Order: sequence, then C-alpha cells, then structure tokens
Amino acid sequence: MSDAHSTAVPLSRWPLVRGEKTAAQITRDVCEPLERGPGKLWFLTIAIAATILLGGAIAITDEIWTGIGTWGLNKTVGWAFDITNFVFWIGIGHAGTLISAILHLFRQKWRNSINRAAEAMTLFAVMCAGLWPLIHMGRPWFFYWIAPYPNNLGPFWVNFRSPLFWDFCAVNTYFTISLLFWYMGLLPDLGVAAQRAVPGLRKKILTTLSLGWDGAQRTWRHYELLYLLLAGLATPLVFSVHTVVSFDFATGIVPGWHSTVFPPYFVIGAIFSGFAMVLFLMIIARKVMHYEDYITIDHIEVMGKVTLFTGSVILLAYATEFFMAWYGGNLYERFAFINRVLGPYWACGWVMIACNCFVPQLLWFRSVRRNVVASFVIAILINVGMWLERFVIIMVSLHRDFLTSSWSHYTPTYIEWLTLLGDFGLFFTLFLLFCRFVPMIAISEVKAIVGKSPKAPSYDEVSSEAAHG
Amino acid sequence: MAEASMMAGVFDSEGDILKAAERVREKGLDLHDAYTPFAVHGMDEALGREETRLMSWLCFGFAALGLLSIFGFLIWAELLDWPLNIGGKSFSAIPALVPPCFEITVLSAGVLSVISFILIAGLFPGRKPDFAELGSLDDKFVLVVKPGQRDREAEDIMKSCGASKVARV
Repeated sequence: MSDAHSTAVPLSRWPLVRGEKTAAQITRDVCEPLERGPGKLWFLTIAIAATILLGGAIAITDEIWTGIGTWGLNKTVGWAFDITNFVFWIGIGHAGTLISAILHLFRQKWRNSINRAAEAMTLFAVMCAGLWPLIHMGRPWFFYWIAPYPNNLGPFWVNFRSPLFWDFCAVNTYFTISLLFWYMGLLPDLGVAAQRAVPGLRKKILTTLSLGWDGAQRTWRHYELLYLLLAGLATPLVFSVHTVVSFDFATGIVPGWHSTVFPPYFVIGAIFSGFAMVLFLMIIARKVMHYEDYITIDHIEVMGKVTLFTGSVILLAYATEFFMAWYGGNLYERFAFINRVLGPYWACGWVMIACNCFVPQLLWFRSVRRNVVASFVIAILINVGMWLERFVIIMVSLHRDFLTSSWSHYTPTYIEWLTLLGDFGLFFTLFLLFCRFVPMIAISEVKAIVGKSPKAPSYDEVSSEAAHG
Repeated sequence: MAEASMMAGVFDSEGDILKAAERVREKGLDLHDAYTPFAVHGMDEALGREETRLMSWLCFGFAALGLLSIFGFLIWAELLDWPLNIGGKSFSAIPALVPPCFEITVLSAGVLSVISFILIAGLFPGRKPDFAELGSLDDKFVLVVKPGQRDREAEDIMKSCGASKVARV
C-alpha cells in the first residue's frame, strides 16, 4: 500500500506560490505591508465600512430602546429578517472552516495561502450572525438566560430538547473552536511578526500574543498534532452547526420547513455561499495587499470549482424539494412551493433560482474560472442568491400558513435594512482591521510548501505572457 | 537561561539540519533542541526523540470527560432535578440530547487541548523567545548543542554539514 503511494505522486499540479520565493522573502512579503502603515485606500475603505457600521449601531440602539415593534414583524411572520441574516452569516462562516479544517485533513496544500483569511472571515461572520438572535431577544442584557445556569427560579432549567438551545450550544462551540483554531495557526506567525516589529506598542502586543513562540522542536512536535486534532474536531462541527441551524426549521410543522432534506441542503448551501464570500474577499485582498504571487489565479480557479460543485448540489436540492412537493401529495406543501415562484414574493424566488442554480453553471468554463472580474461578479450574485434563499425559505413559507385567515405580508422597515447594512459594515471593518494588524497569509505553512512545488514564474511574468500570447 | 555558552549551528536548509543533528548525536553529544521556521518532518527522530502522540490521548480524554459531564448533567437536570413536561414527551428523550452532547464534547476537547498544549510547550505571555536573534523565525534552521561538551568537535561536525555559522549562545 505504502509502496504504491511513494512512487512519485506529484504534490501539486500547479505551483502553489509563484515567483520562486525563499523563506526570507515570504516573511518580508507578508509582514511588510503590516509594518509599512496603512495606505490611503485602506483608510478610505475602513472609513466607509465604519460609517455603515455606525448607521447599524444607531438602528440597533433605536430597536433596543423602542422594542421589536420597530421591525416589520407581525403575528404571522414572527421570524423574518433576523433569522434570515443569522442563517446567512453562519453559512458564510462555513467556508472558512471547510478551507482550514477539511482541506487540511485532505492535505490540500493550496489552502495554505488562503486559510488564515478564510478563518478570520469565519470568526467575523459568526459575530455578525450572533448579533441577530441577540437583538431579537428584545432585552439582550438577559442573553445568559439561554444558558443552563444554577438559578433561584426553581432551579428552572432551559428546554434542552429545543432546537434553539441546540443552536445556542452549536454556535458558541463553533465560535470558540474557530477562534482557537485560528489563534493556534497564528501563533508561529505572531512570533515572526513580533520579532520583526519595531519596539513600541505593536511589538508589545504581538510579543504578548505570540506567547514567546520560538519555533523550538519541543513545541513543534506537539503543535502539529494539536493542529491536526483541532482540524479533526472542526470538521464534524462544520456539518453539525448548519445541521442544527436547519433543525430550527425542520423540527417545525410549517410547510416548506418540515423537510428531512434540510440538514444536508443547509450544509452544502452554507459552504456554497461561504466559498463565494471567500472568493469575493480574496480577489479584493490579493489586489489591495499585492499578494498575487500567493493567492494565485490557480487559487481562484480551484475555489471556482468548489463553488461550481456546491452550486450544482444546490440545484439538485432545489429540484428535489420541488419534486417532493409535487410527488409527496401534501396539498399544503405543494401550495408552499407554488407560492414561492408564483406568490406575492415571486421575484425573490426567481432571483434566488437564477443566482444559485444558473449563474454558478458558468463556472464550467475554464475561461470564466480564470477570469478575475467574472469570478468576482459571480461571487456577488451567489451571495445575493443565497441571502434570498434564506429569506424565501423562512419568510415566504411563514406568510402563507395553514389558516387563510392568518395570511399576512411582511416588509422590512428601514431599521431592519440599516441593521443589515450595519452588519456588513461590522464584517468589513473587522476584516480590514485584520488585514492591517495580523499576518494575513500563514507564513510558516507557506514556507513549508515552497521548494516542494515546481518552479514557477511570478504573477507579473504570467500576466505579461498572457498579454503577449 | 543558565546555560550561557551553548553551541548553536545555523543552517540554511532542513536537509542540512537533519543531517547535522544525526551526526552530532552519533558522536555522543547531547542536543538541546532545534529551532526552525516551520515544522520539519523527521526532526524528532534526528534529535533522538520518539514521536509523541501525547496530544491525541489528551484530546481523547478531554472529549470523553466533556461527553460524560454534559450527558450526566442533562440526564440529572431532566430526570432528577426538575423534570419538565414539554408536550407530554418522555423526560429522558436521549435522541434530543445528542446535539448538545456532541457540541459540548467538541468544545471541551478543543479548549482543554489548546490549554494543555500551551502548558506542555511552556509558552506564556511575555516569554522571551530563545535564540530568535539567529533567524530561526525567519529562514534559518538552528541546532543547539547542550553546554559543557566537546565544543570544538560539535562545531566541526556542524560546519561539515553545511552550517553557515556556528555561534556560542
């Protein structure tokens, strides 16, 4: 068995890092943008992001001050924007864990230059997600009431059989494990950055956070195994978190929710939307931070392939749902699905189908996958589509339930829109701060892969070749 | 550190440091440790240490601990402490306890493993990295020989294996 594998199987088909980098060059390339101080573009973008965030903060303040009545909810549609955004953001986070944990277990070395940023994206997305259930509580300062803690009310425990409690466990575990995974991966690079930093506050912070990392073998020998174990723990977590999120709906009896296909459907949808978001962020980051030699066009192509695969599974899931709604013979179920595409919210349904099922099919073409602008546009469209998917599943199913007398409409108020925008502001503010202060590329992991991949021309050489030929 | 004069060989490639570590050990000299910019495979063997699976066992133990604790707690809370009748369903609805049990198992395994790694590796905030000035965090591979041994011999071996520099540290 081992003999068969040792017969010169190439580690990779394409160079993972371009431009024949040496280890010292990698350190310099990754750390220098952090040390140089931010440029105008960075200040401009963070100013915009922070302004949007501020708008969201005002909206949330108003919502907490006045109450949930500032939202467009009513008796029939008691769950709409908040849970849509919660599921959307949690889904975004999944690609980060997939890239860092599952691809690590599969020894997909190409993940090494994008995993750090993808993991950071996970953390920020989970923060953005957590915001929604928190503010939907109405009295967010009592958030700890969800946790089972010894109290003087009985002691009165939470309902452990409720999917909402499961969700609380899942999301908190997910955030904690993702944070630890990210921090552990970051530890060696914080050591590098701390050593290079000029004396001052930045150096002090980096030195403290790096815990005095010095790359001793005594540390590495446990470190590598720990990292693998964390990847092993995070992998089932990816599946469990969105499975549990889908239970929030699937355990209910609302037509359009009550479906056994939900867990796999939600997990793959999460990875799909998350990959689109990673693609979106990486295309920006490689341009702004000049990381074209690390986040190569081949990385974009591979991510395009994963997006295509997950997008095709989504197409299958939609087809399955519609087929079962017809074939299952349940009138309520059948109506729910007709209502999705022909009801008052038909536009949402069709845009969702177009963006999620048909747009990613363009990625079958190699020229599209290797076209940065096309990939960027597709990534945005997928995110729009996946946001709408959650909206359609949640809201459109709710507004027409069993009793015709309780049918209703829902329109988000400006407070809800502002909160959503503010959430994006939060996400991009955090991401920009991350790009500025933390080594965005896993230095030690990239160092370990250079020299093992075939010699490669730099990005500039490739683009000039492409321009001439 | 008390060992004021250890010999440190600085290498440019992982192959060289592995070779040097083995040669130094063959001559009966004790090695302190190796410092590398990334995890070098086979380094443990070259340093004469057995590969360790300690983290795996710890992680498994923490996972088992987490699972037993949360399962025990949930059963105790649901059956003994304050049974709640929710929709007339069974008080000991074990399938409904699977998701929280799984999550807490993963949580305890992850958190406790990371804490134990930091303790085992002897890392703490404010610790001064050893020998970082030799460039082991950047692109150099540093092999450190324990003090009070045949320094000249150690230096010769390391130089013959391609050390770009041998220094007393």
